Amino acid sequence: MSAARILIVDDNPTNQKLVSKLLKFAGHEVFNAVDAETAQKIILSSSFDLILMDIALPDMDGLTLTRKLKADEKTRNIPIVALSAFAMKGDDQEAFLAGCSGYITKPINTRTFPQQVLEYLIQRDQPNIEGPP
Amino acid sequence: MTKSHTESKPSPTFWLIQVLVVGLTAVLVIAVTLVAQKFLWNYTVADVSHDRLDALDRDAFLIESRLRGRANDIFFLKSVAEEELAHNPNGPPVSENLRSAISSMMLARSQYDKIFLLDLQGHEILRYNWKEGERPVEEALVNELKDKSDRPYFHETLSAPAGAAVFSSLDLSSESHKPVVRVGGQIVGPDGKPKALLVLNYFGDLLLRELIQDKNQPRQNMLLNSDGVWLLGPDATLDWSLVFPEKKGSNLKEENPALWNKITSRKSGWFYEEGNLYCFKNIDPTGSVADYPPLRMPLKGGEHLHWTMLVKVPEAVVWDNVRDIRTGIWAIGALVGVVLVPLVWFGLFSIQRRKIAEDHLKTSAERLSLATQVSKMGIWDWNVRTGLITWDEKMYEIYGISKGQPVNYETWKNAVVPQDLSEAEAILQRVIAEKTQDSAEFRITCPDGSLRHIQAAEGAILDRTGQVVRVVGVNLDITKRKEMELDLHEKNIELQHAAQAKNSFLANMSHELRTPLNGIIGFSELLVDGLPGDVNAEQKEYLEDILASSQHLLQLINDVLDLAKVEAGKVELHPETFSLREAIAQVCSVAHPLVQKKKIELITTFASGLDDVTLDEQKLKQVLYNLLSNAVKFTEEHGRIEIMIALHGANHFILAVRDTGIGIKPENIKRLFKEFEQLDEGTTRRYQGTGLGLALTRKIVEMQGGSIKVESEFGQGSTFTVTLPLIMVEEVVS
Repeated sequence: MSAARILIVDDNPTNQKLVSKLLKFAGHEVFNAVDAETAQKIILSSSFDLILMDIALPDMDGLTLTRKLKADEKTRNIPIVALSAFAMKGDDQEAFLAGCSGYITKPINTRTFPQQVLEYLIQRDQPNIEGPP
Repeated sequence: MTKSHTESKPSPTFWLIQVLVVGLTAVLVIAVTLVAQKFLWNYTVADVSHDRLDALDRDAFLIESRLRGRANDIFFLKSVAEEELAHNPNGPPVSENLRSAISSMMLARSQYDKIFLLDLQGHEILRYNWKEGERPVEEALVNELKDKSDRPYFHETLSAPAGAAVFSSLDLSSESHKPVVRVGGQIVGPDGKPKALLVLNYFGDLLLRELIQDKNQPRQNMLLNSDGVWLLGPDATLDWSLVFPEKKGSNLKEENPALWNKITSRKSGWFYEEGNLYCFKNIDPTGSVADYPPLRMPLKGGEHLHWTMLVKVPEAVVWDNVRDIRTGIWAIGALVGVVLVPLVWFGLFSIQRRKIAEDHLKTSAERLSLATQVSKMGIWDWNVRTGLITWDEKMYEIYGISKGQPVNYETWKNAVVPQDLSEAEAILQRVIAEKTQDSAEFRITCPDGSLRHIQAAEGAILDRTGQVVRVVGVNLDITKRKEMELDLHEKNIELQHAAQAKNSFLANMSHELRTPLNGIIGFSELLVDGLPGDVNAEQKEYLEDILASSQHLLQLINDVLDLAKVEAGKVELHPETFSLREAIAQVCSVAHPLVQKKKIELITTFASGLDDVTLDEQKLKQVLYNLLSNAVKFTEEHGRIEIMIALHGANHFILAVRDTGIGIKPENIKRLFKEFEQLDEGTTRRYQGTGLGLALTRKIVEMQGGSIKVESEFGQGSTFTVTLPLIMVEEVVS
């Protein structure tokens, strides 16, 4: 598995920048969206191997967007990993229920993050092994 | 309110009074009966005595008159003899006229045993005897005539004055052995000298006819002579004691001197002694005869005829006179007793019972009054038939109406808040319709406009036919309670909101703090790792400082979050079996950089025979890490930290962390495990921390069924000892 097309949905520019840099260093092709509306447009206009989804977004939140994407034929197969500063118990559960394949809490560990992302990409290549019902 | 059983039971005093009064009544009845008996006795004794004394008077009179008759008889015979002598002064004293006078007198009287003449030497010169039969009067033959010169009456008559009638003592006739009284007189010649003596033997039983007729056994009528000798004794065997030698000693004067003195000290009288009524009369028949005006000659012999008539009536005989009355008194006494005693018993019983009942009623009323006063409870009473409503003082107070003002159903209806009225009225109607009891709550508006909450209870009161006559109820002013309830309810909702707000605040704060930390930590790491390009050593050191500070900040955020979760009971434990030794080694390696930095000596002592445990591994590591980082934090450079693990009993192990740090003051040890407590402000400044670590540690340990304690000497160091079970027992976290 080498370079993947990854969309980062995050309204915080600093975090957007950090994650983008890390993934670029890891050799992936990275796209950015600062809100749900932009994200939807980009997703429909192109194809992605993975979406990293912040949950606290302006207007439509990340989980709602996830549910929309999972409800759509065209986008339901794109794995979505939640990337959130919500670290309370049950927050991850909610994300899984919405259709996320994984949950990474902020602050991220930059040293293990690329590896984590890689693992979700591998999972995508072996569909139906894990994931929400 | 139920009537207590003990209260209705009469007290011992009750029974004491009961028994005393009834006993007194019985004693009174007996006493009255006895007094009545005594009165009856006194009356009867007096009555009987008077009867007997009257009889004695009559008997004495009869005796006297009989003796008078004898004096008349001797006077008559004497005058016949003396008339003959007057015609023939030298002739014998015995003439045909005298013979015929004597024999006809004997026949006519039938009272003389014999009549005889004695010459002056005491020889009988003529004697007539009395014999029962065809020819009762018989003249004795000459050879039958006796010499009576030795008889006392001969001398008495011879020595008496010429005209006297001489009465001898009463004794037995020598021939007939019958009691006789001898009456003697001198036959005086014309020369005034005695020529012969005339003696009449008069039958004593005729003289004493009435006394002798007494057929009572023992005899009641008795006669004694002046020496106390029985003439008629208590029984016939003692009669005529003076002439029978074998009856010697039957002398009352000697046998009972006291009695004798009593009966001879007065002329007549009566007394009661030793179960007998005695009536007595002392008579002197010859003496009284001598005073008798028609007699023309003096009488002689009185000194022998002092007699005592004695009547002795036994008590039983006295009572016989009034037997019916006496029985009647006893019967009445018994009847009164039988009727009165139970009457008094039941009367007193009911009086006492009523008294007790009244006391209870009074006590109940007092209790009720106190209860209503203290509880601010009003009582109302509604007569359904007349429509009259009575309120007690408290009701007026609760409804804010001046006392005594007439009230009716409308008064109440107008006071009730309209929204509550229909339900309150429905309950009242139901109580009447179903003859039952119920309670209601409603609000009222007082004349001053204030709103009051009322708790009411009411019950129907039925008459004997089961019809509702009254409804009685209570109103309790529960305004204050209601206000407090409302207040509490509001506070509770506020508290729930606050708790929700706290949770959401914590979640948001955590999120908001983590977001910038993501950038700080992420980019610092990037730089340290040299991804964008190399940094020099000094830059790298500063970047490391930024990272350390950021990591610390993150730890604080996590601690706050964890504590909040523990407090909210949201932490779940996941026990699994793992190697304690390995887990501790991992924690030590994580802490290694900190230890090394302060050049602290870290020693781990692991007791043998202990390895696998079943606990939440992550939580155990967290506990050890907290204790270890604390120890490092408070231990100066070149200090020493020891970790000791050992078995504790069969089911537990201990994990101790000992440091050579600053130690803890005794007064601070208690505060150590509380949230947001650090030892003092100086410490906080010097040794950074939220103060959450130990509180969280303790909670995690306790959740797993363990405990934590600390021993410390200020300035010498501290030892934290955690005791945990080898196999976690799931505990329900509330």
